[in-house]
This record gives sequence, structure tokens and C-alpha cells, in this order.
Amino acid sequence: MEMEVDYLRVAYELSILSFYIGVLIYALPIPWPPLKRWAPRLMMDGFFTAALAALFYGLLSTSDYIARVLGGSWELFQGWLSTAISTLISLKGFVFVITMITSQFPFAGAIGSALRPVDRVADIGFITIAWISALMIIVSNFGKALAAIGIALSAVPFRISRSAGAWLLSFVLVFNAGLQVLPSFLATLAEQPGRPDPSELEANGLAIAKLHVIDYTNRSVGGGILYMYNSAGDEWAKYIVSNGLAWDDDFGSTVPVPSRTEVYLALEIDNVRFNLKPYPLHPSDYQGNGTLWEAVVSNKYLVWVGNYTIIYTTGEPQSFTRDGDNVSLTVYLNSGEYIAFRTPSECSVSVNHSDGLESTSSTWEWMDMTGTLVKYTPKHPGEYTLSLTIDTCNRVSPDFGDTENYLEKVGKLGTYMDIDFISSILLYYTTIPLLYTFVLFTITTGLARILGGRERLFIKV
Amino acid sequence: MAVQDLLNLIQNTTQQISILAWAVFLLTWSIGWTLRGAPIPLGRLKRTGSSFIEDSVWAALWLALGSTIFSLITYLIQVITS
Repeated sequence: MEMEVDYLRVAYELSILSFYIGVLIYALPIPWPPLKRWAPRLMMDGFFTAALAALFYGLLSTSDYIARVLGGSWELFQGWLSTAISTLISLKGFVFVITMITSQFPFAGAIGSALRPVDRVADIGFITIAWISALMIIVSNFGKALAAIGIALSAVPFRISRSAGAWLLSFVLVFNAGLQVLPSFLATLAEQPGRPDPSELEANGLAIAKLHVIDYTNRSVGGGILYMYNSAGDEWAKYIVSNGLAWDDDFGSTVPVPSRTEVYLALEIDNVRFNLKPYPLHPSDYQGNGTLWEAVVSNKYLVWVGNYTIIYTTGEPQSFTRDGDNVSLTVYLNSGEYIAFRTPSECSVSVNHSDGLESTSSTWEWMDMTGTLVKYTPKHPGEYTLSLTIDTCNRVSPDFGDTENYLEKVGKLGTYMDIDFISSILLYYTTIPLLYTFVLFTITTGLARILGGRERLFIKV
Repeated sequence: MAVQDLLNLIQNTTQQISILAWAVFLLTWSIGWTLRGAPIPLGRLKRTGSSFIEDSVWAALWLALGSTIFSLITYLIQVITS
């Protein structure tokens, strides 16, 4: 026999007792109004609580029906609870992984400080979820028994525990429906926040490296964009090349790179892209100590870079001379190969070249810059020389936009340390659920008053 | 069993109160008629007597009706649960 049936029988018997006490008081030959007033009260209470006990299962079914009509169910609630717990665990895991893999680096303290709010938000979320889970366990596991106890308490003669009983019954009826509807309610008010997945970052590791980018002449490449890809072609980072070094907005000239997997680097300059050797760049290609790695990457076909004027070829470079702003390149070209230069419109150049080269020119646009491309193709295979003199060159200032470092892109550090993400976690897993439960408590108090409770019931209980 | 003991206690108490209520009804009804029929020319006393008679009759009515209503509720619960 279910536990609530016993309590319902007690409630019913107490209702009858209340009724007969009322009748007894009615019949007493004592003409004292304060005593006589209890007679109809007790009789009505007896009928009322007996009716509540009789309608017990009907009331619970009505509560379930309201939940279903409003689009709720315990399955939906369990799903929301599981998602909330797994998201918050992922958030804690994310903080742990980032803290762990950056613990050796000089900026570990800064990262730790920046991650502290994320960790706190996860903790607050856990406390809220624990509170709502406790409510759910009380209502779904012990709801029937509690509601029956509530009716029994309401039925105690002379309204001794009527307030507590009415509140208990209301609590079960309201939260039985309300908690089931919580996920639907949340879905209409807030968007479910994403879930951090630090596994990729954990698998690929993290190191801090200086990446030197040089041209064929071993000169540092003055400007450009350095892209980092994984073997699947996903972009993992975008660094600016400044004075030959990869540079990031957050990390400066020591940039985050994966420590356990190879990457593919490409330099983009004047709207042309060069794959940089070693291609791919393997962790063993780096030099340096445990906390700061160093690698030199280049492309021999990118022959010369000077103030965004570049000379490049598809042929085999033979020799190169440079005298101030005069550069001269000799290349062996087969048919179909070419030698080309690109120069921004802020610069003017003079060109001399060997006989037997045909030129085509066009324009290019790149990062708010425009310029000219001149391409030379040979009539016959052979060695050809191109001499280029930069006559004048005004200041060139391309707009590269923001950098995106490996830690930010793969670790999604930016996404999950963003104030919007933290707000959405707080909103979805703490603020709205807490507000919602307080609303349910208010409804509980209102319903308890209808069922015979008095004001300030909640505080009394 | 604790709940069964509690139920027995409540049922016994109810039964005793019910018997007591019938007894009190007879007593009040008698007192009421006594006061009403007493050769004492006090209006207040007579009104009290009438009030006793009225209360006792209502109490008797509810005693009879109450048993019927609670039996009906018990029957309905049995019908619904079966």
C-alpha cells in the first residue's frame, strides 16, 4: 500500500472527528458566542478536508494535466537538468584544461584571473541546479506523500495546523506542474548557451613560440598575414607579421602554437598567398627551451619583400643582388613559369629586365590597399634577370583587422571568457530558474490562502 | 502499526464524541424546554431556552446528516478507486 493512502485515511478520519466536534459544540448548552462560533467552522472544515482527501488523485492529475498543456513533462525537465549539469561540468573542465596547459607560461596568472569569473559562474550554476534538483526530488518522489500529509494537517481539528497543511498541498500541486514547465519557460525567455569543448586543445597541446618569417634573401618579411591551419584545412590562427615575427594582439611577438601536432603556415601579402616551409611545421622543427619555442619559416619563391613591394617567381631563383633600393634577380624559367612583382599604389618603381620576357599587368586590392601586378613570362626557357628600383614610396598602412590566436580559436577562449557567454550562462542556469522558483513560491502562497492558509504563511512554515 | 494505531485512536475518539454529542443534544434539548416552560417571567431566560432547543435540533440534524454525508463520501471514494 502506498504511503499516501495511510495519510489520506488519517486525513479522512480527522475530517470526521472535526465534524463531530463541531456538532458537539453546536449542541452544548453553553450560550457563549466565541465557543459557538467554532461549531459551523469545524463542520465546514470537516466537509472541506474530506472533499480534498476524496479528490486527492484528481488534484494531482489536474496538476499533471496543466503541466502537459503548458508543454512540460518530467522527461523534458530531466533533459534540461542533464544538459545543465553537463554544460557546467564542461565549463569547469574548460577552466581546468586552460589553467593546466598554461600553468607553465609567464601569462598563467593573467589567464587564471580572467578565468576566475567563468569558474565562479559555473559554481553558482551548480548551486542553483542543486537547489532545483532538490525541489524536483521532493516533488516527484515524495510529492504524493507530502500532499497527503498536507491534507491530514489541514484536517486536524480547530485549525491547529491548517496553514502548514494548505501550504504543503499547494507546494506539491504548484511545483509538480511548475517544474515540468521550467524548460519550456526558459526556452521562451533565453537562448541556451553553447557548451565548451576543450578536448581539441587538450589533445593538441599548447606552446608559446616566436615564428620568424623570412624571404629568399633571408630578410625578415616586414608585413603580411600569417595563417595557421590544421591538416583538415581548418584555420587555427591568424597572426600579423611585423618585422619578421608573427604577432598577436594579446600575446605580442610570442604567439600560442600547438605543442603536440603539426600545423600548416601560409603568408598572405599583396593578395597573394605563399605556403611557408617547413610545410607542415612539426613540433620537432621548433628550437628553444620548454617554455619558449622558436622556428624560422620561409618560401624561396617569395624572393624579396620590401615595404609591401614583393618579387616572386614560380621558377628556380639563381642569384639575387641588392644595393639599397635596387634589387636584381636572376631566375631560370621554363615555359609557363613566370617572375612577377607586386607594388602598392603608394610606391613607384622602375623596372629593367632581360630580353625575351613578355609582360602583363593588372591591379590588385588587399586589406584596404591597391596596387599593380606585373607578370613576366618567357618566350623560351632560360635564365632571365629582373631589376627593380623603388623610386619613391609613401607610407603604406594596410588594415589587417584583429588577430585570432590559436588559444582563442581552438580553445574558444574568447568565446567562453566573453561577457555575453557568462551572462547567458548566468541567465539560463541561475537567474531565470531562481526567479521562476520564486514565482512558483508566490503562486504556492496564493493557492495556500485559497485552500485555507493565512497570510505570511511561507515565513511561518 | 503506527498509522493503524493512530486511525483506531481517531475512530474511537470520533465514536465517543458522536455518542457524547447525542447525549449533549438530549441534555440541551431538555434544558431548553425546561427553561422555556419554567414559570419564570424573564424574557431573556425564555430566549435562551428557545436558543438551546434550536441549537440542539440543528445538532441532531447534522449528526444524522453527517453520518449520511460521510458514508456517501466513503462510498464515492470506493467507487472511484475501484
